Amino acid sequence: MSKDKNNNTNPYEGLKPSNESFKNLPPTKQKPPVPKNVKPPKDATKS
Amino acid sequence: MSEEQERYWQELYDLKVHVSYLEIHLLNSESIDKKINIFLSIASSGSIASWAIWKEYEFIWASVIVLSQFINAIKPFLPYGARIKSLSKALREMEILSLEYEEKWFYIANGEKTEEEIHKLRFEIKNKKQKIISKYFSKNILPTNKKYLEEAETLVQEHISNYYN
Repeated sequence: MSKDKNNNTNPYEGLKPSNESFKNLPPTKQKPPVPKNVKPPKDATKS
Repeated sequence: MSEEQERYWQELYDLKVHVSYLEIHLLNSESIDKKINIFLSIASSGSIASWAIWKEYEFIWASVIVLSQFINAIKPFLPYGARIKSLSKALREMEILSLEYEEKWFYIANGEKTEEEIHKLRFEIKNKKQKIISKYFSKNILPTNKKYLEEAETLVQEHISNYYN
């Protein structure tokens, strides 16, 4: 089965972005500003 | 911030930027569509009247009429009409999604969610976003516009600075 997948007629298939949102929405360039007063997750505080 | 919280925050940021990006795309598509319609209505009514008054410029008026007829003929094939419809519907759904998951950030930032719960919520955003985009843009692909993206990022950065910093 995996061999059939590799024999795909389009050689660039694996290189193309797989999701639709990437195709229509470009990836963001900047990092968001870090928000203040963020507490660690519930399970992280326990350990 | 834990790594999972950081990833969620980045995902939420991407979502908000993309909402803004779609909005800018919509405003620009509407503006182009409006300009085309204004030109067509002025050309069809104004040129004939002008032709009758200023006969010495008849070549110009004839050209305007020919151009307007050409635009009228190709208008159904221009992407703006269909794009406006897809953009407004997608934008509405993306805005709802953005508000829903921005609200969840409060509980994440308050340490009320586990790493696993945050991870699941992040993938909910990804999946729902992809579904919306596939639903509205699988045939009518949205062209990438870097200028709109930069504009959208600036707007969202300002929003975050106002409300979260």
